[in-house]
Amino acid sequence: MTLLLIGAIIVPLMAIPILYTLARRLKEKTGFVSFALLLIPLVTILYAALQGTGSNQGTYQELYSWSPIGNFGFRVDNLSLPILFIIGLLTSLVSLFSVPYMRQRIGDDPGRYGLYYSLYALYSLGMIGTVLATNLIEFYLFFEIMLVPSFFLIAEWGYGEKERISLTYFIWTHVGALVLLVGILVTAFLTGATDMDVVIGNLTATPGLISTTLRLGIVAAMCFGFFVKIGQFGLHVWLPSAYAEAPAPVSTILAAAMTGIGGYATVRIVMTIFPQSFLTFSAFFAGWALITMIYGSAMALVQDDIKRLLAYSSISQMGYILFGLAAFNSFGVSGSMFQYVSNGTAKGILFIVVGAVMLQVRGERSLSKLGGLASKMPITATAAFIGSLTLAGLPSTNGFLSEFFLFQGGFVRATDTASEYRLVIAVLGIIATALTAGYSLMAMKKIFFGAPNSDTADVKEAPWTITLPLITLSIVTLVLGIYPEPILGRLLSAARAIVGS
Amino acid sequence: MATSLLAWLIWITPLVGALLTPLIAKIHSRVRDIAAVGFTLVAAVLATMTALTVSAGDYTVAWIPSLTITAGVLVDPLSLFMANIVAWISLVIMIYSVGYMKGEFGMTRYWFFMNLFIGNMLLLVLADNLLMMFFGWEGVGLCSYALIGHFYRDEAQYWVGSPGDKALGVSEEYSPTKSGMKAFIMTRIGDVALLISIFLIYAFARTFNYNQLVIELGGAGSWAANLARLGLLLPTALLFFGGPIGKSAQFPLQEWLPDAMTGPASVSALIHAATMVKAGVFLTGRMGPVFFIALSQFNQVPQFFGVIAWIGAFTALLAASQAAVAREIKKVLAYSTVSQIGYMMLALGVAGLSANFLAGYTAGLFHLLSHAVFKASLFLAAGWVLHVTESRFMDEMGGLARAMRLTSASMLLAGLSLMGIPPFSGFWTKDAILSVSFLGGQYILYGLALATAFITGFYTVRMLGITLAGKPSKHAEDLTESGKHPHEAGFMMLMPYLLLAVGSLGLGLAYPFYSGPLTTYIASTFSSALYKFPAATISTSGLTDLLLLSVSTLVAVTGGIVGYLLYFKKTYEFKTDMNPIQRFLYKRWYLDAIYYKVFVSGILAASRGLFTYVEQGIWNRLNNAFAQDIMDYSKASDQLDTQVVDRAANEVASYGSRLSNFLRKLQSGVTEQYVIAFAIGIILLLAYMLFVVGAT
Repeated sequence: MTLLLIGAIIVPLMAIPILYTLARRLKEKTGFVSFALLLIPLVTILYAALQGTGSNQGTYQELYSWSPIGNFGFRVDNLSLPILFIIGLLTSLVSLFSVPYMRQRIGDDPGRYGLYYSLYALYSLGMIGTVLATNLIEFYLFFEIMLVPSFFLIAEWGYGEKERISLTYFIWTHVGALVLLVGILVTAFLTGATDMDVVIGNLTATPGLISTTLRLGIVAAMCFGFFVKIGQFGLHVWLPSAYAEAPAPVSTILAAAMTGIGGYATVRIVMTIFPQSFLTFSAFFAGWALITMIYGSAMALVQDDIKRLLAYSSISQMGYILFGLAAFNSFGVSGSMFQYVSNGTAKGILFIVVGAVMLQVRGERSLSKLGGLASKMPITATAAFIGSLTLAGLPSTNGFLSEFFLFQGGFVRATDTASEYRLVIAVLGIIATALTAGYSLMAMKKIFFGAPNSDTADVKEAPWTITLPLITLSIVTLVLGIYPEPILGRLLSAARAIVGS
Repeated sequence: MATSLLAWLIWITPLVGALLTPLIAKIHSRVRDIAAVGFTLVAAVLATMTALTVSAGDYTVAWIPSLTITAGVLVDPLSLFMANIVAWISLVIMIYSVGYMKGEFGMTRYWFFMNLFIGNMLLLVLADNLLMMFFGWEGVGLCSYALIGHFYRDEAQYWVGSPGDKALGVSEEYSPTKSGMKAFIMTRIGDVALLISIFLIYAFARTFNYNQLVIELGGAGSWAANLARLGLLLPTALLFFGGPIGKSAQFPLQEWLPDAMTGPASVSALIHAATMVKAGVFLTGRMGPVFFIALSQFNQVPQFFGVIAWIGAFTALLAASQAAVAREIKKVLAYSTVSQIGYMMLALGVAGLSANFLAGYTAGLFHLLSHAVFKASLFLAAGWVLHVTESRFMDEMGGLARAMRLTSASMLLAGLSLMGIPPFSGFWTKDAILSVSFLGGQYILYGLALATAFITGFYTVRMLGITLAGKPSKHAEDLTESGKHPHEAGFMMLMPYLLLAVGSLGLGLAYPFYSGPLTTYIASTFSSALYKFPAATISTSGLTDLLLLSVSTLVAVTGGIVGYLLYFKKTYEFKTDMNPIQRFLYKRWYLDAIYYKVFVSGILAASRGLFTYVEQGIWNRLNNAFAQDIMDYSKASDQLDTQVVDRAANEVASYGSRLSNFLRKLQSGVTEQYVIAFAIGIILLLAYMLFVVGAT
């Protein structure tokens, strides 16, 4: 057996001491090593996905005995590959972005660089592990590993009231995770298994293992945990400050890669193990998602701090993800997971852009004080434009197709069930997309257009360590926006297996 | 594929050209300019070659195989007719741009978006399915946003509106970037409606392909029948029309177009003549027949087509009335476009209401052609006038005819076509619309259209009178004194608008010869047996025809005479104290201000309220109180992380002191040690599994 997928975990793990040691010498340049090392998981995962043949096309797994709990397994399949692609791409690219950004944030202390990049590698490991996990306990473990380093990253290098903010972040997500753990433990206890496949097998063989009522309870608990992560309305309070006050590279990973994992996990665990119970909640979830979409956009409209604007925009975008899942058909679910990819590229671009602006304009992130940067930072401005258009769901960006299919899912659900409620929700949801266009274009206008002011008159283009990630992500956005099949085809076949066509 | 490749390349060429522009710009700016025009030229030639050599058909390739969605180019008379107008008019505008935009700021970006604009328009015209069409549709919107806001530094000279213009306290002055955003978002509202309609259609049809949609109308379980079962067929059709309403600036979404004049004149010409606003008319032309067949199975045709016709007629009148009082020359032309598109919509609507579908249908498309020609000419000429007079206000022009004979002649010719004076092409096509309205029994619509014709005559003459006739204004005299004499444009700029103006006359003179064959040609788009249109020969006597012709001409001429008396004889001065009617019209019926108050100020105020009272008032307060408790509890210092962990360790300690001591040892240091211990733990765990337990 080849160690492909476990390699995707071991490499970032081994990277921790390597980066920590190297940082003494290399300081901020450790980011280049981090970039190279974190590309390896991406490559091994993509390679692993090519291993499956025939009916297992695209699926590949490695199981390691973890008695008495079960198997400590890793699996890449049609559902997880797109997610892993974004995580791998972003964690490596953001390593580059960290080079100039953390230079400015940390200064000359070599030890601090070691800590930063070690935590960063651990954070990447947590995300990859969460997505690859095949076992519920293993999943929980990685889910928590994801939290711990991100907490420290915010607490150490955040802005403003970073202690309070990081603590709020920690407690909210941790409490969410604990509630999730309750759901996992009850499931494991009643089905006598923790491996997801075995749990599903046992439940299919003996549906009576868990009563319908209890299933609803379990789904509620698990969804609570995941929805805190994706910041659904009411569970979102930790999010705006955490995203806004984290250092920009960390904000990028938080918003673009990590948050959406809550949506992925909802599909992977809740919808796969308890599809009927999820369906019971789905009408309610659709409404909740709608509120989140509109609320997030409305909040974004009135922000002056760009990072806070993007944070609220993330809340809104996560509403779209839940909306797609709540449609509970192949369009909705695949569109929703595709939305993870689009959000990954769009938020990736935009948070890096904000970082670039802050870096070049002396830490400025207030919309009212910026302006006229388009001619000063043409590459950044172009990337920001593409990112905004992705957010606004304009064709030729992947944001259009993902939103298109998830809304198509909503409409198919509405017409299939002849539900007026669902129809109204879908219609209101799509009307709310006009708000997204509003705030993203408004931000573009205020940052990049108009005449340069005294603060922005002598600004220069960001260094290549920032423009390269921006260009890469922009290309991914446009390629997938025009030819979505490599992602959408996989997601559709995965979604059909879970919710039928 | 072989010959159909030509059809594909029509829209691919300008798009690829756009992408290449930044690279070519590295060679030399002159090469870049020529190449940019070259790409459009190739597209135009390809469009004509396709019309001549490629047989009608749907040429598809795989696109999203997992949903069996194909991409394709639909070659049929309708798409070819449109593609040729778009490509050739665009070419003329591109040639004009070379001179007009010389030395302007951001030229690489300009050429990029111009070609992208043209390519997207051709894509939306040639696409064989709704999804692909929507790519072009939104692409057009994006390019208009970028080009309207081309002068993104918002210098005062590029604004529209007179200083101090206000309605209901809302400023009516627009900067380029603001207008760009307004155009994008306002058309986007229409697009949302269009999208909802596409979703509903696809939910049952499971195809986006136009031909497939028509074929699937046959059975009892067709998408139309399914939608009708849920009572959604008519709403679907109407929502679909929302897209064209936005793009083609029809009531109630007409307000973006007048302010879109912040772009360069060449951009305005492109938006008004060849791309953007024509997209809505085209799409209505593309899907109108499909909805006609679908709705006719459920007797809902009049509702749908009635809405189109009424919106068209009302918009035509509304915008014409605003053109009659406008101060800026480009705004007159912009209102005029809205009004003329209203005519086209009226024709497409009346088609469904009358006994001969194709009569109204072709009338609408013919007017699109003649409008494309004369409006492009007017905008390009106006662009030169703006340049020479260094002002956008007509009252700062005046007396230009003496120094600029050819430009004035060109504007006069195109203006006569706009007014609908025989034998210009605008006369024939406008008259066709009026006739089908009258003969279709839609007398009120006919009346509205006739009133519009009167106002059109008036505002056209008014515009020509103020700018070309009379004495030069104070501003113009000042310019002359400072050595800037009004003069003709250079050959490469003069020819485009002059040729178009003459072309408008030529198209008019030849109209009796080509109108019949062209009608047959366009009608052959619907030769499939599935299209069951009412095609009664409308019996009219030559006398009725003549009467209708005379009435519409007379009305237009009367309007013109009123304009002549008021504006050729007297010097026009812009006065801020207008009479109530003028003020009402000048302030755009207050519609713009009301929209702004409701949809911009209203939404922002609501969002702010939510932010203050819900987000900060409830959520953050709860959260902060919660966080504060914990912080107080842990007596947070700057070493907060250690503290919290220590606290946690203490908590655990109360359950077992040994464990506590262990944890303390592990976690007493700084974060670094904690992390490293954590990492080592995982390494050990994995190593154990790998090497001790072994892989299974």
